[in-house]
Amino acid sequence: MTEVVIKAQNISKFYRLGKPQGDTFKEAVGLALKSLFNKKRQNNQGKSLWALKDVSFEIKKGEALGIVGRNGAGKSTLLKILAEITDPTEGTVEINGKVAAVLEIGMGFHPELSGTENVYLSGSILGMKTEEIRAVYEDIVNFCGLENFMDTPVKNYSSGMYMRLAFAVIAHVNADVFLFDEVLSVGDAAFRFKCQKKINELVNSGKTIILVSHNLNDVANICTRSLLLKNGKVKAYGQTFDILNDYIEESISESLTQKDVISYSDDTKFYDENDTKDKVWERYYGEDDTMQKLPLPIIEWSSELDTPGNEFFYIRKIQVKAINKNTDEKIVIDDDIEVSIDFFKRTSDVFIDMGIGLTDKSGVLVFISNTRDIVHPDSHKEIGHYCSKAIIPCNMLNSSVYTLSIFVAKNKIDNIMNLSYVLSFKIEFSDEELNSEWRKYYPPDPGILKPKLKWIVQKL
Amino acid sequence: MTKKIISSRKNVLSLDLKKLFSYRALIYVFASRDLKVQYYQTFLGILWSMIQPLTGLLIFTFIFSYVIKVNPEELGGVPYPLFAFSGLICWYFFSSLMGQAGTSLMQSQYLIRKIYFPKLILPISKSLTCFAEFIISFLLLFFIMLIMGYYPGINILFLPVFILLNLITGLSVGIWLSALTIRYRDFYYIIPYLVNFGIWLTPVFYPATLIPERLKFLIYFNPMAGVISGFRWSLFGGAPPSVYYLFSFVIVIVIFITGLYYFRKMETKIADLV
Repeated sequence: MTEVVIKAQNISKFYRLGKPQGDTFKEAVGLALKSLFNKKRQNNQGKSLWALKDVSFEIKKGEALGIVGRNGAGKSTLLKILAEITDPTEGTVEINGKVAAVLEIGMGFHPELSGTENVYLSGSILGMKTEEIRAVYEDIVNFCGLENFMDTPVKNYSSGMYMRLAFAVIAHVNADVFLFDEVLSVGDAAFRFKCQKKINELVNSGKTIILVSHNLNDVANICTRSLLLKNGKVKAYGQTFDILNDYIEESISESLTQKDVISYSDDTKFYDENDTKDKVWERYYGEDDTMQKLPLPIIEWSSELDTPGNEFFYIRKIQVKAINKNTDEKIVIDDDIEVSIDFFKRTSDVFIDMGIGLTDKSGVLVFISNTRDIVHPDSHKEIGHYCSKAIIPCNMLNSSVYTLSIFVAKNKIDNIMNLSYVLSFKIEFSDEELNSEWRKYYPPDPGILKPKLKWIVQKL
Repeated sequence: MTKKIISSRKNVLSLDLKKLFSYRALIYVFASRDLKVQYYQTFLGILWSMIQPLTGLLIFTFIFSYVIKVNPEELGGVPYPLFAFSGLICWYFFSSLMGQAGTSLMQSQYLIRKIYFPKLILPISKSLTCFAEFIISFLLLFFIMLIMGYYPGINILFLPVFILLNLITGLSVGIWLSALTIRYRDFYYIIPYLVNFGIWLTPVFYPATLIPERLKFLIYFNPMAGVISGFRWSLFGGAPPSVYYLFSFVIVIVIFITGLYYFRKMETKIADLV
């Protein structure tokens, strides 16, 4: 039985809305005088709000909990209570372990100070001792790759450098519990992947994580369990994928029942007919067209010690390749793609189900799939080596760089480990298509999917 | 494994000094940050901290030695510049500590809203920065003393006591102000008045003997009067400070302890109020 790290019982937080009474000296004196003459304390006339009401949950060691909900649902309030920034009005939270709360990236950074000085400053604010910071300083510098800039004041950093340094410090904090509030939504795509991967590493090394995010892909990729808040109350609590479905369904149904119908106002005009230059949609270009070099899409763990896994299993090898081709050959749209996961089962009491998720280069989760629908024979319970293989059919995904995440469940329902963004691979256009007449005149087709649809043309 | 329980119920009597102690590294980090940032890109660096008392000294030496002539007898046999400078550096130590500690919470709102640490660290770290600046000015004073041929006697053993009292006085007023400012912004505007008027209500530029006899009891309510007269006595000797000053030190201790409790009470509400 793994130990419970955070146990929240019926926590509630009350806020008075509007202009608070007695918050300036004049009002306090006024109130004191009033109560002196009226003998009766006046009731609070301001409106009030329970930002959180009876929120309870438990998190075990090494678990990642996602907190989702719409704006104003109480997510940040909950995080602030867990981080001891503000006290709950009612209820208690029990935390076993050291907490590092990251409610903002670059917290405590001072623009005038150098990179090195800021590492020590923000490290201490996050609760590290000077010796502890010194011990991980090299790792921090390596992680952010800013060796040559550590003596430069951070006010001269680009925003990307600033965030890389800030996250590098966070990633090396020696804490048992990490609280993250929307920190992943900053930076470019490459930086986001790096952050998410690091967070995932933290989870798999036994740290406990709470992630508040509006980005459902992040939550899906990192958190095995989630908490859906609505108006300060727990709406749902359980496996992330179920929760996210609830959340999306609810959001959609709510937006449909909203009274105001979508209307096209002037500013949605696509072209500027009268050449007025204002209120016209701008079109942005995607990320840079530079060539990306990817490592081969294979990961093999040589020793049993550093492979991802837990008491039920460990992973030996993950590989993506086109069927009938070698791993070092390029994958094109016309190829069937094989994703294989070799793992070793350590116990004989459960079934292990593997799942995969693909994220495209813009961070959209394209799909997830797993072996849930397979009826396992009893022999699959035995200890030993297994390989789960999935075939992604040809002519389904468009050309792009995809990043693979692995989801592991036991007995079909219980999500026990997520490995976010373990490897990346690229699907390319076939040579025939690249050399075709068609491509001389038209750019490649956009879109996530590139299915070969059945077209029927009739003369009526 | 550290274990903690977060709830709305707090022990009112406990000041949670243990937690404060566990965060002690942060006191030093904040203080060194403030010092670095304050004198960043200046040529003179921390030497600036003695320029303020020095300019004050020049002006008041002129006024009190040439315009209003103070009888050197009343200064306890010390030349006026030494008399005034010793008072000035104590006063600047007090007033800059009170001002900086008093505004420390307001200044660090962005941090308070984003992360937990014992908030008392903020005013306390200010006492470290102000102390560093005090030391620079003090060394200058000591240097001038030696040049002018004044050597301290055995009384100097008491000097640390009065410096500590100076620090506690500034810190306790600062702690009160910082906690009050969170709730009532009015106190933010009071601080400059305390600094500007306080210096005239304290025997900094003039000897306490200039105060009319029937108003003299008032001075025993002013802790800084006691600190400064004790400070001068430890350096220059002469008649020991009046025992009545002990009363003002009791006031300081009371302000200090009540300040800690009031701060503690406000601490839990700070994040919701700033």
